[in-house]
Amino acid sequence: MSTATKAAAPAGSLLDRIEQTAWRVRLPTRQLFVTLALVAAVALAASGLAAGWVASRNADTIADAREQGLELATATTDFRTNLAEADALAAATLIAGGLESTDSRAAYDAALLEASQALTEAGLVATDDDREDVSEMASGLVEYAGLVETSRANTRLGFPVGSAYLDQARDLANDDLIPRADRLRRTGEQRVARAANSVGGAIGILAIVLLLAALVVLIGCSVLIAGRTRRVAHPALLAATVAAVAALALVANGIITQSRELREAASSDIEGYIDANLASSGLSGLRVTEISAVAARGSGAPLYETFEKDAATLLAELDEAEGDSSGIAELRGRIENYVAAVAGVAEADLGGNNRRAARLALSLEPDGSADAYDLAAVGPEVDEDNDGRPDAPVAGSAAGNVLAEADALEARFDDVAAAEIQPIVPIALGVLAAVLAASGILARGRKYR
Amino acid sequence: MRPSARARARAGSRTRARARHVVALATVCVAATACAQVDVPESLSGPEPTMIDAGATAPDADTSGCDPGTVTHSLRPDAAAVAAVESRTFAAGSYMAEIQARGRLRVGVDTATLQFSSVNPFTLEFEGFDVEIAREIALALFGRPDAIEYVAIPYSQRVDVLAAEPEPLVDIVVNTFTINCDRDARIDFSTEYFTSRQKLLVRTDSAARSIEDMTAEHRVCATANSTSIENLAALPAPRPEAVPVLDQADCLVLLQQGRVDAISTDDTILAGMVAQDRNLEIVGDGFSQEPYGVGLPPDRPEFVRYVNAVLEQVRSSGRWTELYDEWLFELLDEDAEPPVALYED
Repeated sequence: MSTATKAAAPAGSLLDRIEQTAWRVRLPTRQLFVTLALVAAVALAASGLAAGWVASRNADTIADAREQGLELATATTDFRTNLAEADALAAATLIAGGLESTDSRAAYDAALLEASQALTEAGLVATDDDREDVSEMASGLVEYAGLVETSRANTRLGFPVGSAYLDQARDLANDDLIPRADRLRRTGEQRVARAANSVGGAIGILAIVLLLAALVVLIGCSVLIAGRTRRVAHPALLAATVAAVAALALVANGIITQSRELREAASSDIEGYIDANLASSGLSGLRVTEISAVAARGSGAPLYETFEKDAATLLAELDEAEGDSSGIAELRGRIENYVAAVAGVAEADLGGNNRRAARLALSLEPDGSADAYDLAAVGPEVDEDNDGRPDAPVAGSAAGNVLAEADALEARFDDVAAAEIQPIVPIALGVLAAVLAASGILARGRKYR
Repeated sequence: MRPSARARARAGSRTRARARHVVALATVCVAATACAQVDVPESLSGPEPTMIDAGATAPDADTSGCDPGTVTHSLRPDAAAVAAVESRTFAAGSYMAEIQARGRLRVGVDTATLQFSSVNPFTLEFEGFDVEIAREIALALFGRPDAIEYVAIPYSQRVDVLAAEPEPLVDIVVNTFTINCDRDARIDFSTEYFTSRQKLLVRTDSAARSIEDMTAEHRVCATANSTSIENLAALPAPRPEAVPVLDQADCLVLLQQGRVDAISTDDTILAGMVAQDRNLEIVGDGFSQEPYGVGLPPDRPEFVRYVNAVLEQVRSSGRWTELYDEWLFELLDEDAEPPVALYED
């Protein structure tokens, strides 16, 4: 039959009902089959292309989030952490005088070098909008190092102006460099959060909906053809359906997985990493306050009060911190020990014995605060691989927690990358489904004729 | 019995509705899973412009009745004070007895005024002319000069620590402390133990030869709440812009960095700066007299008389000259005599 004038069959079996439905379309059968072939092919091919475009766009978004978001945030956080560490070490010269220990000097140099390297990494991933801050931080770091060196040179010569240079260096770090680093870190966090929202957002949903709609169109076409021909679907149509379902499953799974992992990275992992770094910086800040209190030589009472307040804040923030709970708990205990050691320093200082306070702060006497600080900052010095150098800090110290959270964050982004959809796959599946659907419909039409 | 066409139609309609619900639910689930939004954190502002915090401004003191010509007059040591210096025994309830009971003299000093009061970076001990004056007072009180608790005080807070309520934070301030009416209204002073003059410190390549060469386009550094900055403000127009800082050493940093054109303060302090940087020089004549006294807490006249008795002994015994030769002669390159003590009863 080639006309659309056949009376509807009486309702009975499912196939009867389908046939009844199929004949409601008033197009002649041949024309209907050509139209259905076109509609199905266009729908499947278009949805495949759309899904491929979304996959490509998401891949770019994720790559940008990793570079300009994650790497910017981690690089600037590293910069801040190392600058704070360098500042704490430089501040110790205020009470150690010109005779700075070689270990302290080497640790300062290492922290400054790492801050500089972190800044280089930030510069490599910075956008045009970020460059002014990165540039200011680079010149500021040079200025900071210069001021510290001028301070050292003057102090070695016995000139009191050395301490004024150190004050100026610390003002530069605290009032300019660290706020800029924090601003860039926040920009990086925002980019990761926006990427997470974008990947799983309206465009991602649109790709899934288009694939779903194409699948519905294909099924609808198959139903109409079955109704007109009273025969079940052609094998090519079944193959097209399988390809369309595969494309839908692949794209939906990819988008949902990437979105979920990115959300975890943006809302939890990056917070854990930043919390670990803020704990490290906060600990360095406590050390600077302690040293400044001792260096105030008798008038440090307000600084000891500031120390106590800041220590309480840091411990409270640790209670709320994201990340590895056992590492955080271990660090908390070590910070409490450090705070107790500083209480001994304060007792000596406020009791009128500033010299003993200085010796305690430098751990030149038992139960001094420098050892307790080092244990909290980097943990015990261990050389398990016997290579003559201390092993990398492990979780439980401020530096160790930073490394652990950095590893977790990297692993999360590796998971995001693993869920990446190659754009060619949904396109190929869509086009394949389109060809199969068109050929199946037309083949059924030829037989029916 | 087969269901009627209407019943079948109703069943079909229910099936389609159920299918639509399932599809809708699945779509919502997918959308909810994929679309859950992450909070984007707020931006941070970055660095804020910083101002020099020159410390708390001293409250306006009532200086009516203060004659600048006699402000350096201090209470004359009475017989009790002289006897106390000789015997080291103090009347119960006197401030000296209180200090002696405490076991140490609390002395407000500076950490960065070379040759007057600074910390030796190698020994970490305070040293200088002012520190030696404090040690003489401790020696008189305790029989040993090291019975001292040093408290580093920013220049801008020297009066505040002595005028603190209910008790002063230190017993004495010996810190190139100029006696003037504003300060005398809030605290007490000993007799003058050193006379300085305010001068100008510039780079050796500067064209300026005196304070008169500093005009409105020049920036001159001085410590906040100091007589030096007051004297700069009192210069006739076009006077230079005064740049206040917390401590003297901050001025030296600014001058070395080229951020100010000059420093103006006591020649003794400027000489300490020249000792730290031979590319600087003191120019011009002094444009004010700066009489240094030991700052003392208010309303303790017996302590003022006692400190004046100690200073009298330092002058008359030749100790003053010894200390001058040890700490200041090389720096100032001139002989000096101790200032004559001026008393009131």
